[in-house]
Amino acid sequence: MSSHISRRDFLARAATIMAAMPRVAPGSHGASDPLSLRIGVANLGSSPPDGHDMGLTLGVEEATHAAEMFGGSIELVPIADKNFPGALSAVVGDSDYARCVALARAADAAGLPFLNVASSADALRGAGCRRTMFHVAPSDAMYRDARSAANVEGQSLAWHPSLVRFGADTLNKRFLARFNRPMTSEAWTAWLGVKILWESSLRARSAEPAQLMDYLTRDTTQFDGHKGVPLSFRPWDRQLRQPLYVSADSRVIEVPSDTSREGSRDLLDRLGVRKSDTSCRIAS
Amino acid sequence: MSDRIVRRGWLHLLVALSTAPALSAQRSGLAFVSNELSQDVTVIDLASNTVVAAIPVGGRARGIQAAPDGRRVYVATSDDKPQREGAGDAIVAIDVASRKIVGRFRIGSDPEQFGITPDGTRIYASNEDGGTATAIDTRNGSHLATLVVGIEPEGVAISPDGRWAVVTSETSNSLSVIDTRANKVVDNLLVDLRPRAAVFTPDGTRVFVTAEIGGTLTVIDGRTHQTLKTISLERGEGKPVGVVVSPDGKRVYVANGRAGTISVIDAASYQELGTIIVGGRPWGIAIARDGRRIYTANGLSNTVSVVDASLNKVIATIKCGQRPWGVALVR
Repeated sequence: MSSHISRRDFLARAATIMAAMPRVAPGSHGASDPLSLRIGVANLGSSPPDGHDMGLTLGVEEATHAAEMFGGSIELVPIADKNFPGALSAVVGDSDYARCVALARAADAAGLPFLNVASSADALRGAGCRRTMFHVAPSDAMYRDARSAANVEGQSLAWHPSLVRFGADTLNKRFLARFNRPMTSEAWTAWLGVKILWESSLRARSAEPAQLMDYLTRDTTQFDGHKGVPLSFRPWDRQLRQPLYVSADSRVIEVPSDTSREGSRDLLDRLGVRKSDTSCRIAS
Repeated sequence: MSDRIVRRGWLHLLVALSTAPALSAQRSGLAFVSNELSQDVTVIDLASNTVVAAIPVGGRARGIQAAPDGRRVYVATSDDKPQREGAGDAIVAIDVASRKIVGRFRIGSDPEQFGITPDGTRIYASNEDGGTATAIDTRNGSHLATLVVGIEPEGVAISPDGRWAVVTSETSNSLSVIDTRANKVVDNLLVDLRPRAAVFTPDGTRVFVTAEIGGTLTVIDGRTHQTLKTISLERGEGKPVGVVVSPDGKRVYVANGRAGTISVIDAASYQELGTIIVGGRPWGIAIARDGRRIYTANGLSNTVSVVDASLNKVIATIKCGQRPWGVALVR
């Protein structure tokens, strides 16, 4: 799981590549620059900025901080539906269902991983699933199961600004200090989408779409989203396993309630569509 | 001036003569426990395993370390005002003999953990909300360096020769290596998910890094800073936080916070030898200089567990302040 990319290694590698390859134009990337991560984002820059945009922004700022340590760069590239500029590493979608479907199709055709960070539609995980589409946002089925498990009438959420445990307080504080707004579910999923892509590129030592996809689909691949358990993509529908929260009567209930003992993947798979029930037909 | 010193010396002698148990306490040592919620430090007499003092420190107390000469205990406090250094953000110096606060050093925003160089002159602390590590001189509190490390820096360890300081960063899953001669970050490594604490072996050849969400212990070469091995703890469900190495270098003890256990690992074969059940949410862990006792600060049960290292069993449980975080031992 752990790997070693020192700045020294990166610079040495970069120097070798620079000597061997023609200079790459600023802002573009190719096989020659493994850690130039360019993420295509639709509907970027709403005015005023929403949680989605803020989450993406914090994700990029934190990845940029990490790039100071490991070298490389990350940038968000505004895209229009279907018209992708060249040299993208991945695409991130917003909450609009129709746009998600269109973007996922276009990303698939371009061989790019598509991270759905906002739409909870079950259809995107079911009949409409794709090998190249990864769902960071929880599904409607997961939210339903969380409400049922919490056994209360309340709102089910991917994140809550009052969360404290597992380093959630430090993330909530960082977000609040940066934007003077509490971190919402949509901000968290957008932030995590960028974090997942950046970490994948660091660990895979590549920002190439095929390498990222390969890393995202490995059984050993997992991520930390400040929820106290490792988060990983289900192989049968590419849904990110994660604990959820149900907000009711000024309480926030975590589901599952105790992930400290049991195998956390099995426990998390109680939320959402199981392998035996999926209508997604991607051969993993 | 000299008159005052003489008089104070007499006072010390009188106190020592009049309190025989205090003498035995000095022989067996003291444990200083930082309490995050009650914002104080509990002092435990290890001869009797009883609490002998509680010292308010005026901030959320987390990282705690004894100076190499055992005369002072330092504790990191923070005031929880994010991204900004406030009055509660400090390294507080406690005089062991008098149990009084004798210094309060600025060390940047939100200091969490720190390491002390073997000569006792420098402290390197992680600034959790600042993405930096700060170095100060313990003799006068002067600022030496602020270095950019990863996001949400946490654990700090210093090599036995004082040459390297390593800092873990929880969000960026990284370990930064600081050359203490130049006060520069010379290397950054990716480690497993949510690295919490780091410790050097007594001979300085290896560093052990816990990863709470990864459920692993990563072994890093202490000189070349290459990753040697990643050990899965309790099949990845261990939730490791604090870590110590026995003084003979043969055992590694890992506090598994949420599992409420200590994992015992053979430092040569990297095999997990056993698990010791301790109190709720042990984070901080310390080992006696003779290697015979291990102490954990149990944040959820507000206790310290005393473990006999030959029996691998808890032999005493001591109530301390609210939400204990770390333990430092003084002879």
